[in-house]
Amino acid sequence: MNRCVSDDTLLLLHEGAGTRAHQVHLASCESCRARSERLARDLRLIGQVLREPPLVEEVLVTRPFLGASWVAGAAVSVALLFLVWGRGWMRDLPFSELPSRTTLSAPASSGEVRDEELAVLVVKTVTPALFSATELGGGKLPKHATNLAYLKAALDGGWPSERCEPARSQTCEGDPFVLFFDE
Amino acid sequence: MLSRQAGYEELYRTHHERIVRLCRLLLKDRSEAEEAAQEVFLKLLRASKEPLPGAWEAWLTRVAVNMCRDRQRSWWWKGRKEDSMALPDIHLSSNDPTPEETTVRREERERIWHFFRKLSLRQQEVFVLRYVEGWSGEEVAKILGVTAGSVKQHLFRAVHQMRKALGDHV
Repeated sequence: MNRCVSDDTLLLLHEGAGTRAHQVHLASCESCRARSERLARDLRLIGQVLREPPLVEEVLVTRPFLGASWVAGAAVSVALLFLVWGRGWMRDLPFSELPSRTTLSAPASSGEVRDEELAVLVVKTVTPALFSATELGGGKLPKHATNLAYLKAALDGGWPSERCEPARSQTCEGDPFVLFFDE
Repeated sequence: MLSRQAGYEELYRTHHERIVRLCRLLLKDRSEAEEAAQEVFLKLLRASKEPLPGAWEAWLTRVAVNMCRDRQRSWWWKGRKEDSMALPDIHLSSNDPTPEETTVRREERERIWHFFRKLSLRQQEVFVLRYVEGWSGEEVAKILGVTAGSVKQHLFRAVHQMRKALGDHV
């Protein structure tokens, strides 16, 4: 065998394997013997280096617990879910629907209950319910003075009252309870 | 005749340092390696209550390799990352190599460690057992529970890679 052995065969021979022909060639070939010696020297050197402590100490650092980020993510997701659901639930409440039933103003596009809509709601629904004219006998209630009457009275230095006669206005002003006892 | 306790202590004294080194090579972390080695000898203590097998050295090596592999496969191990911490330079006496030689050797060592870390786990195991621990190919196969052919295959690839660190090619 005249051809030099391959690198793999050289390693095989170093490991004590290989054919008889390879071993004979290794013994006779200067080049292959030099390569084999170099291989053995390299492996010794590598083994020696690995037996010593590394120059740079390797440290394994524990990452923040992955589960914690999962928990945090899940908590945020649940909170967002509740927020969205809560908004939808508030939108479904009766009082938030009422302004849209009235034709006094356009319903809020975003579904938010605006202050003026709430005010309209109170005026239109709550106030009549609490101070129903039919329940109190509205026919007996005094009529409200008109704005013009108020203006005139203000100019005259007094308050108007349809129940008070002009001649009795001084009495009215002096004793407001006279209206209750008049009848 | 040594008692079991004395036998255990003797085994501990003889093999503890070697097992820690083996675990450090496979786990890359000294404290983890010491912990793993402690578990290995705890197993030895439990096992020593039973009839003692002859080849404790091989048994310890096999247990240590399996212990390291189990750790590396665990879910918490995967959540770790490598970090490096340079060790302080050792003071050189006048008989030590020149600074140039030291620098060359230092770079060479760093390259060797770097290439070793690039090997697969199995290649690292085979290479360490064969060229650091000095087990034969057949013994490595027995320790790892694989065939001799598989050991040879991993060893060839590992040697090929490691010699690149020295600027050689097999």
